[in-house]
Amino acid sequence: MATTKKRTTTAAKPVTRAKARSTSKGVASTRTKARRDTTVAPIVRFTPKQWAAYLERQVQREVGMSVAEFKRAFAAGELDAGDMDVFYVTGLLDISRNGHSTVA
Amino acid sequence: MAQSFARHLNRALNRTVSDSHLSVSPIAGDGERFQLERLVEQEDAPLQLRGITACLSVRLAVVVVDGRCRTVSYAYRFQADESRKSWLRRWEYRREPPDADYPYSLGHMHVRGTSPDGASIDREHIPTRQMPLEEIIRYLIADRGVNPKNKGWKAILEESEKTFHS
Repeated sequence: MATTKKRTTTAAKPVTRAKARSTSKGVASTRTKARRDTTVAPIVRFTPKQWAAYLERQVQREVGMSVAEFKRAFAAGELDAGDMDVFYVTGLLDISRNGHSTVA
Repeated sequence: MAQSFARHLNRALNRTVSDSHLSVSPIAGDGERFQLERLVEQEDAPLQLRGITACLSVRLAVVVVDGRCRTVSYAYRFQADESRKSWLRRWEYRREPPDADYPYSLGHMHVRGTSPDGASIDREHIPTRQMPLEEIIRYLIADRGVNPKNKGWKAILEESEKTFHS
């Protein structure tokens, strides 16, 4: 079987115009500071593995359980959706019970 | 489109209360969904605020529909320090309820505090409209002592909110 070299996608460090300016100019001038509000929002791309790890850390920190544990317990009705931390995690994971779709 | 939205929010933030900015992350496995928050080395971090040690944690999930950004959920936390558990106020929203029996307003806020009888009110879901980030910035300046970067901050926020994507 032929093997192809996969291009690995890594989460690139965000590069902004402001950063580019600051690195090329050294100390930012007043004029540069005044233009900083035009900063382009950096895009941070996660690989699926990185995204899963990110969610694991978030959910663990928020409710002290793994994503899998949370999903199971939530689906089983063991968690109160009115609890603010549970509500937060359902939004983060974009899940709901009873067939609700999050995008109408 | 999501990047334009984030840029729009960053403009409002960076002209008023913070030098921090939001990043855009495509949600893995879904080409139309994005998360907006401040990221430092792939970890979420609150936005630093001018003149106070408290900070603001922001997370928005948006989906691009018909060329427009639609907010699916958001969570804003005004917190005493970088720890998320130090929250003082939190505004939360989901477009769809997490549960068919969910009884609370989909847009609501929590206030850390006690009522006059000493009972905790942290877990009350105080209803709100869908809050644009600009209104949170207004609160930070008007009520929480954040030092605005610009004397014209009110006009900046009003102009910014006019173009807020629902």
